[in-house]
Amino acid sequence: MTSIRFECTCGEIITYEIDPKSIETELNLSSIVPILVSHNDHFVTVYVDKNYNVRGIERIILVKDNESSVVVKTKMPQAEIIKKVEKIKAKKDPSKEFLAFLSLLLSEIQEPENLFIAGKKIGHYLWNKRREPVIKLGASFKIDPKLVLKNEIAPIFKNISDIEDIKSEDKTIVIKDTISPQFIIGIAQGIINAISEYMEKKFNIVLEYVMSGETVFLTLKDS
Amino acid sequence: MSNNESQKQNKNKINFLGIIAIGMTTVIGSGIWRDPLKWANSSGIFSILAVVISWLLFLTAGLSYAECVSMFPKSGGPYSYVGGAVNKKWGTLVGILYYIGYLFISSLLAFLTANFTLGIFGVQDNLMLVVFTLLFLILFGLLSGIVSPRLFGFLALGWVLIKIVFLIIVSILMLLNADVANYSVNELTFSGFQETINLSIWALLGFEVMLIFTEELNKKDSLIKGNLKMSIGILIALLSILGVYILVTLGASSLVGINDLGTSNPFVIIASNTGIPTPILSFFAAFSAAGTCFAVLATCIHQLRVMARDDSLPKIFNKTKKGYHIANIGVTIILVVIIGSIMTLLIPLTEGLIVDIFAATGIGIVLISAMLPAGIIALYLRIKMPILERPFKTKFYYIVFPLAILLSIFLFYLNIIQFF
Repeated sequence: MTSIRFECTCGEIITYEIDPKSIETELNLSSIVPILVSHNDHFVTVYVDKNYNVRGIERIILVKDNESSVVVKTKMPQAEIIKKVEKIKAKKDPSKEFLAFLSLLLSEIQEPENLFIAGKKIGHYLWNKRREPVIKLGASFKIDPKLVLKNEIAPIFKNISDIEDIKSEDKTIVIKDTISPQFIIGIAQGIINAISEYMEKKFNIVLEYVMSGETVFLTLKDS
Repeated sequence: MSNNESQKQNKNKINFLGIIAIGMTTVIGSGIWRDPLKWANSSGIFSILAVVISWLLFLTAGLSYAECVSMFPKSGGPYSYVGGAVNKKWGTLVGILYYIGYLFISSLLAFLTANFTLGIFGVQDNLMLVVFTLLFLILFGLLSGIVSPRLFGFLALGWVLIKIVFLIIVSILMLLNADVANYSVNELTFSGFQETINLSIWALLGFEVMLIFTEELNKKDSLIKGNLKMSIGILIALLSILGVYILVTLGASSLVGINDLGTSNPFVIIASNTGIPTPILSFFAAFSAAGTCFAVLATCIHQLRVMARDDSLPKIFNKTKKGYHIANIGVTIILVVIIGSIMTLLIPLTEGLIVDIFAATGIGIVLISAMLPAGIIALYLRIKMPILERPFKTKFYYIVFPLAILLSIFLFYLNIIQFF
């Protein structure tokens, strides 16, 4: 294990352990690798180079070609998390019984990073399910953060949590009373990934978020 | 897909002129040989203005569909758009209604073709009418079922060009024999003008059949490429139809003044003024109705295939035997033969009322399944899915799309009120 030390966006100094094997492939492809790090009630993306020196810290989860954050600190391998999510999804379809699905999920997955991964998977599924009819008709989507947030992300959360718009910030929504904020952020990320995948990576939008207790502020910006 | 396969597929697709011709040949049927004289009878030379107003109203539906097809480049027209915007069940319902509506319309068109064909020989016989109607339904059903999309486009183009040539010849002859007194507007009334709008507005129904063949359009064979091509095709078809109608209406108003027609047969009026024999006019009308019947039956057969491809109908409708969709052709011919038989056999008993009832039924179903969804879906998508790319974007949509909805409701009202 290799340790990295950096100042989080919240001001606190963090020491974080990385298993070099987990990012070996990414480091071979790119000289700098973004790593998703969970800290208290938020995530940060830490950029490390081949010598494990911290090159940058962002409170943004990036969606760019071959540049999605890599989760390194998790007791459960990613493949196992996905397998569990699929198994639970087969029992309770989140597009129909979201809370029942979430309840089952939380009984098996508790770590914030793992919940984020599970959320990504479910966000991807929920968006594809919701947009299946127009996808089949060959529709294309505009690359507009505001429209993605209001038309693609917010409607999916409407059946899950309380949603509020911020009048002064048209690219931000507030999701209140979330049972698992990390899972909610994961869903938002999964939706962006799904759109990005459908649009064959022409979509270049970054997700910014703030977690405060059970409330999540989601902001989308052009990268 | 390899380049060779892609080129081979494109070779079997409908070209741009072909798709425009499909829209035009469906709209320009046999009615154009008689109706303009009735319009002139209601408002004289002002019937041209009425036709333009009717066209503008219909353009709202055209613009609605032009926007929808630019967003969703898939075959199926109203069926696909309703399925995409609302859900598959509603889409399937609309698709089936659309199919049934055009089964009625094609039976009616075969009846008109038979009627005009018998008119060529001066025969008036009910049994012959039944036989010819069924014969045309089977013949056009088979023809439309066996032709490839590309050949269908060429046939539609050839057919509509000949129709237009006939119309130009007759219109020029009508203008050459014009009576200036017929241009007088002394007897013009607002109700007469409104009546012309009510009568002429029907003449534009049917252009949306083009949308059933969206995926069959070769999107690489001209300057306009991609999803915008069908949208532009719709507008060109509608503009061309307007041009033809203005010419014929101008000719008709040269022969008939306001309230001059009385109970005269429009063919007799044209024949006596232009010197064209009535059998020739009957041939022109039969040829026009036949072209429309052929296009409508091809639409019905293809609609089944499109719906089966999406699993909205049993898979059998997407299966081919030696390259032909036998089930689609068989089911469509059987159904139109049943409808055509009932309609024509009941003519003597109902003194022709059954034809009006069948026509109104077919048109009513088409209005609900084809015209009404145009404005509703385009408006719904603008409000609910502004994120979708619209290569063709209608300006002033908040006026255009609601007008398209109102137009459909108005047409539905006219369709019912004619019986009272």
